[in-house]
Amino acid sequence: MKRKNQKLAFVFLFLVIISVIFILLYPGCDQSYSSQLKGEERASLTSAPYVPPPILRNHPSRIIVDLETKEVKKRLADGVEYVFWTFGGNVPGKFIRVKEGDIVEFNLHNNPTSKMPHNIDLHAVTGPGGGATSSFTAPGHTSTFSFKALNSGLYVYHCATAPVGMHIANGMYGLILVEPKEGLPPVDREYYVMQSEFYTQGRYGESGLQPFAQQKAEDENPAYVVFNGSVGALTGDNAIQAKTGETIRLYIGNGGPNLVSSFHVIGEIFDKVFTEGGTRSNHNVQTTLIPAGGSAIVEFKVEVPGTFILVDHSIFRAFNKGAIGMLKVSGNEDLAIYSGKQKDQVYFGSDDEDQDLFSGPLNLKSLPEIDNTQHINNEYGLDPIELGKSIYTTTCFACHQLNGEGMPGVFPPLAKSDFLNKNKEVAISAIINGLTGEVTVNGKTYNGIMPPQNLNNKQVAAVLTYVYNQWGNSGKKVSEDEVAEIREKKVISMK
Amino acid sequence: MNKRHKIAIYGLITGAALFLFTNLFGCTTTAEEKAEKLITKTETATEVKHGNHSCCDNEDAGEISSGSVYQLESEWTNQDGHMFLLKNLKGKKVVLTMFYASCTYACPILVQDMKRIETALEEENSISSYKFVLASIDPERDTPGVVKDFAKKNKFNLNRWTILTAGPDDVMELAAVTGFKYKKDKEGNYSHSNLITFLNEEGEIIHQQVGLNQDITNSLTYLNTQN
Amino acid sequence: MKRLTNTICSIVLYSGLFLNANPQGTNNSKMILISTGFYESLFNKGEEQKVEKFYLDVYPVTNKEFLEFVKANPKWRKTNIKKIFADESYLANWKSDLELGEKANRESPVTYVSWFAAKAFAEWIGKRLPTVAEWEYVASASKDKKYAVNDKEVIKKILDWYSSISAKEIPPVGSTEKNYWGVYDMHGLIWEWTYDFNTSLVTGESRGDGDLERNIFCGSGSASAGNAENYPAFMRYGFRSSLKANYTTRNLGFRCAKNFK
Repeated sequence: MKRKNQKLAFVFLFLVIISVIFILLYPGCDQSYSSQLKGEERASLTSAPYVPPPILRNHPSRIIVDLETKEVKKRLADGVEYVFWTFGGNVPGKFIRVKEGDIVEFNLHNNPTSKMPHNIDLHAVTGPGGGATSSFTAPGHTSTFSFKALNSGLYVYHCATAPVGMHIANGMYGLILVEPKEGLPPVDREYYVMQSEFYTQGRYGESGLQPFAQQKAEDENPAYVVFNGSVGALTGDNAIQAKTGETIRLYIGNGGPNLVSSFHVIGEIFDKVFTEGGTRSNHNVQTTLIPAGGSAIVEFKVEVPGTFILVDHSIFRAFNKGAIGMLKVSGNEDLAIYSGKQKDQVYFGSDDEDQDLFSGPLNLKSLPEIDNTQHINNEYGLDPIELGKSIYTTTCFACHQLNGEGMPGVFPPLAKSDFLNKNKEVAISAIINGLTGEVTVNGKTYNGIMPPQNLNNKQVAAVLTYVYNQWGNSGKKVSEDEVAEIREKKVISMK
Repeated sequence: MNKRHKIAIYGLITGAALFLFTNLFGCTTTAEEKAEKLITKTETATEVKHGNHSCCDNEDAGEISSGSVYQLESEWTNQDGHMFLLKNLKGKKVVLTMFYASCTYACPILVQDMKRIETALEEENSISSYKFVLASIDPERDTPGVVKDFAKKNKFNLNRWTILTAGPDDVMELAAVTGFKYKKDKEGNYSHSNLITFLNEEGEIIHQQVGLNQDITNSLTYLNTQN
Repeated sequence: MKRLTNTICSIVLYSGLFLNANPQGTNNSKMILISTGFYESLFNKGEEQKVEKFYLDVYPVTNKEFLEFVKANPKWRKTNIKKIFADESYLANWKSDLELGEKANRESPVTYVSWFAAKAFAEWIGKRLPTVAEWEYVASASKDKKYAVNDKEVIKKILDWYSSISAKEIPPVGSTEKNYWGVYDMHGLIWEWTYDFNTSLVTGESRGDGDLERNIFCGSGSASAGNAENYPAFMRYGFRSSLKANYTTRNLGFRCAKNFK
């Protein structure tokens, strides 16, 4: 009986091994990429901040995209309205998701209510104008063209009808993602964020229907810098959501038309950044640049709950022009990663005066001092002679020349200068206070004006020490204290 | 159980397992797909598509279709000085461009392009169902005499080729209908589109070829699919 | 006898004129004489185009006037129009062939008309369409000045209309400014067809418009769009290049011109 069981066990094991080998060798033809074009489907387009679901098929297909251009009047900020020119009725335009190798049949419909003709330039297109030449469409008409998505990446698309700046400035941009052949690694959340500017006649927040301000656009001085087309599009109830422990991928575009974005999420670090929406990735990035008309993909895991603010770190844009978004993360705390405030206590300051008034447990004076003087003394890590040389070659050489030879009849020499070597104090004063009137140096008279130099004590000491140690001079040293003393006196007699 | 039985059973079980796994994880081969649609460089604007549905128009049944260029009633003059109506071309496929005889840059190339199409069609033995038409945008200088010389110089087979002239307004209308753009400059020369238009037997625009020295394969394919 | 014949002839003639169902349309719309002048074209920066004196309609053609035209010319009615002459949205806002309906105000400019339809109307009424040069020449004027293309205020006003939302219903003719010439509605009401709208040699790839695209167009390189300092003209030029002769669209109408003789 026992032997029979053993044999059955062996059979079972054998089967398991065979099936494992089978699964490894042939995981199913559907999982390996086939370059054969198959099938046709309509692209599902989404409005920001949502993106269409990841593409599961492992072969290229024919994708039909229907995108409508429409001119709409909508809210730009509270009390502020603007006439936006849109792809799909909103700013930014719809998110398009296709796969490398797809053939895209693009139908651009221009709503009959439009005043303007429009077209589209997709940065994912290889071909003249990125599609612009083949999609120029009058109101109430449709243009169709096809392209093959040759390169994977995250690409901006925008209207390219003249005047291009105006069409873009009014909101005609969006993103198209071309997934690579092998697809993208799965994450828990994907969102679509697009930064852009608006140039209105009125100031930021000035209410009413605001017209487009051509001059401001030319001056690259926007009234609004926003995420997803309006102030508050990603804040409060519109914030994007996640849970602790989830990985998030942001597809970020910059519609411009003018500014470059310094994109940062306060309180988070990007684990991975596909810079400029391309294939290479960087890691552990705090703030990433997104060019105008460009993109980036960032991925990060949220470990602790809270509200994480998305900003353009050109910070006045965030707080004064609207470039603020929110990511609300819910879930359990992890106090080791972020504790929140642990202590709140009185502080008595560090000035000597205050010590008489306060003799509490905490003031900086009572803490052991860390000696940084050695480090500080070496400004830029240079020793005083190096520092002195660098000051001389930027400040003094113009008149006294590189090797201290001066200019005959005009500027006295510093090389082997009897005047200099005779009296250190006079030398220091000359630098601090300037020197006018007749002087005799090495037997020659000079009668010019040396202006006072804008150097601090340390710098004066350094440059003089340098000069004294060059060109056959006396080799003296000059200290900061000596300079400070002279500065106090204010006037030094030349005698 | 003897040894043979055991082997048989092991074999059966393994076979069954393999069978199950192949079906579960689907290693099915897929059928061959149809070839990609041609991606053409030329426009696929809606009016071109609509031209193909002319069957359903009721007006002037049996006469000229609603989307046909021959709706234009303009009177033209051919290279022999005879009156010519565009609808005289009905019944044949037409390869049409607009030009002017004094054009030194593009028009000779366009004519060459049309000749290449002519040669290709001759080789295919379908040439008899085609007509080649050149319409002048410069009626001031391109009189029937000038145009006749032009035909001789280019050795056009006048059984197939027709060169037409008409007044400025009629020229404007034909240009408008085919999307042909042109502009006279100060010296009396013209800047104009480089455009060859293909009409079917009803006179509807079925295809347009933009540019000079173009690869004619696309156009020929289009023409062939009309057969 | 002779007098009798003459009288009878006259009676027949005059009655014929009255009774004739398809005569030339009666020319009721006011026109104004535009004197000869020069217009700096958008192409060839600095080059001035001479515009010979001509008559121009004071107002764009209205729905009321166009209704008269289609009454007299059945082939231009909505249900009869040939595809080659106008696309599917021809007179889309009219209730039916001969009824304007609520969406087409009698005194508002007729829109959803193609170049062919506009041209046919102009010919029926004994006029023609203005050329781009003529139209732009008159459009260069502001309320008080003959030539105001560099006037920032004027530019701003025009651009404001271009960037505003399409009105649900287009206001009646005469609603916008009367310019220096006494012509109304050159800006702020509708886009307008011109006779030679297809002289815009543009590919649609506007960023390459500095040079004439030699493969697509033959000709001297200066035929392409020049520098766009005159923004409104540049935008009109762009709009025209998106059009085909049979296109009809909501904000596009026309007015007529006539030779001085």
